Amino acid sequence: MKKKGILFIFILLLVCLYYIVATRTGSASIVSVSINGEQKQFDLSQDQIYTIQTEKGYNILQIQNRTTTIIEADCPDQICVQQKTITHMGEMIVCLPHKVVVEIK
Amino acid sequence: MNPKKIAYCGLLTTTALLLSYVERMLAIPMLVPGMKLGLANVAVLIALYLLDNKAAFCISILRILMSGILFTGFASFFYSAAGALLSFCIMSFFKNHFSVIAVSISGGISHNIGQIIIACIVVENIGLFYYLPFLVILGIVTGFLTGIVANRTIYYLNH
Repeated sequence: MKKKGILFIFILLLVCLYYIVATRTGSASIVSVSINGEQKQFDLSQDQIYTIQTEKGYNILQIQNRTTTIIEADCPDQICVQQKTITHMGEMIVCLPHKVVVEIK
Repeated sequence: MNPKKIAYCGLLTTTALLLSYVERMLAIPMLVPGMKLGLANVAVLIALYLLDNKAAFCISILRILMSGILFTGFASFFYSAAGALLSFCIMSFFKNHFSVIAVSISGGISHNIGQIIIACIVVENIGLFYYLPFLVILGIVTGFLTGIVANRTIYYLNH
């Protein structure tokens, strides 16, 4: 029983690692912003600063040198601001209090 | 319910609350946004093994409610509640089949999955499952660590 458990966890780990590595490839070009389910798209190669206005507050999105980050927000937890810049396909920044999802596609 | 059990329940609930407070003060480098160690799960695990399912369930829910009111506010209440409920179901199901550490790992993973599901519903975006592999790995690691602590504690409480 113990061996089976360890084997199962090991396989689970490998699957997760494979998934992480596999989804990191592919060329990304679009920054997709979803606000409360509504979609908005930006060009990743075009530097700009955009203020995402939601019902609960704002998030300031910065696109620079093909990387995206949220530089300022008035959400209570500030998790979106603390997150690192995203640049690869599939990476995302989420602000749960404002229901904002920034995703690279 | 005998007095000893009531005392145990109170003690474990306090321990769980304290552990979630300590956890908030610990600065853990955030690999994944909002990641946590899940120390409070130690108390739930102890209750699961030394008391019974019902007591563990009550402790888990009380812990979430009280830490929601005292520390985190109601914004994160639903996430914690969903995670705690799912992990409790999985842990009580696995309790009689696996070791403490394995149960703790399954609890860690299912806690994260529960939170992802709620987050997906909140932001109306299924893409959040992108975080799933990261969170499963984190669940395994943190579940393993808290499992060791719980295993030792249960051992000493029984002897």
